[in-house]
Amino acid sequence: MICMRCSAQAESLAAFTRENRILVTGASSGIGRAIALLCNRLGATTIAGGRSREKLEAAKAESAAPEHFCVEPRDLLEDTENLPLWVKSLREKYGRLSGLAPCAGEASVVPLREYDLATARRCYDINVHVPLLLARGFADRRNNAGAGASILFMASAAATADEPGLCVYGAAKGALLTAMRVLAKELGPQRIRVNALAPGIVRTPMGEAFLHFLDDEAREKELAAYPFGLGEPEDVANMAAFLLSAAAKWITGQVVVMDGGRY
Amino acid sequence: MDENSFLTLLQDTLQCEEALRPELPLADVPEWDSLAAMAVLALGSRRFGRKLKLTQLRKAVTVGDLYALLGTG
Ligand SMILES: NC(=O)c1ccc[n+]([C@@H]2O[C@H](COP(=O)([O-])OP(=O)(O)OC[C@H]3O[C@@H](n4cnc5c(N)ncnc54)[C@H](OP(=O)(O)O)[C@@H]3O)[C@@H](O)[C@H]2O)c1
Repeated sequence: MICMRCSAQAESLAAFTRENRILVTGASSGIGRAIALLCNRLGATTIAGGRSREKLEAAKAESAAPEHFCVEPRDLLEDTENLPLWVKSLREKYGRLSGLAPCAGEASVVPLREYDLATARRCYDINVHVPLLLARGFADRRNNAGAGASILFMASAAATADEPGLCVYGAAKGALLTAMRVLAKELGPQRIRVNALAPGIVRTPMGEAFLHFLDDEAREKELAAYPFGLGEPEDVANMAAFLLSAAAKWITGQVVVMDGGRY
Repeated sequence: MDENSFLTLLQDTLQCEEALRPELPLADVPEWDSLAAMAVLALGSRRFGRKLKLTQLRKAVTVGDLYALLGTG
């Protein structure tokens, strides 16, 4: 099935083979789902993570090549410390991985007066510790395909937008961006590229949840501040597929802000 | 920690495909580079409570020397 919203240009630029195994977490919804489906359509084997098996199976049913869309449900906040071993077990099951796109996430808008340790820890767990532990498993020489392997972190425009209410979520995404730049240097000698995307508001359940933190007036103002409208998951997926593919073989340590002109 | 468990732990830290032997010269371990040394220092502090310096690690010639520095006692 061809998704008309995905640009033809991305399709010709980014191409994969079934030997390109890409682990995408958060593949049951929103941005991760769009990335998993697009990479699968462009020829990759997608290993799709998420909590809900049902939603992952629904994505698989929609995929261009369901036989190369592998469903791997797991709650990433359980037994988090052992995520590198999970990546190892996926390598044993499917073969060496060539791409990692950790997209699982949760919205959290918390002004300072509501800052509490449990909320902050959960936010840093899912946005920083989980992607970095997945990256640790992926970067293990025994688990990846070597030269050409690529990691793409999902940060957020919240990391640099400095908006009220984002001192937890925005700061966690900022930490992820710093880690991304460090890892680009650490893993460069292994010829593993590391990049990040920083989207503004994208039409997904999380994007909607974020808008629900705003009152009517603030929401109108926010929507009006996007000259090209809010993002669609496919807008993000096009850039993600490009950065994960060999077409981006000279790009590492970079963050691409995608916000339809908001900031 | 007994020697065999240490060798398995070190193999994981260095991300080597092959099992390590105590008499193996570190110079013959392709994965033994500056980042690996940094990882072994972090491992020493986390798992063994040893605050080693890089200069101490640099004196290790074989895999067994690393065990002597980190895993014994
Ligand atoms: N949407 C935006 O406006 C926006 C903007 C900037 C950045 N981002 C970032 O983009 C990423 C994806 O966001 P999205 O908008 O696509 O979100 P979404 O549609 O709400 O989907 C979130 C995904 O994360 C998974 N997930 C959440 N907690 C998990 C856990 N503990 N274990 C395993 N999976 C878990 C969910 O799995 P289940 O559904 O199976 O539970 C789902 O697949 C996030 O990192 C987010 O921070 C989003």
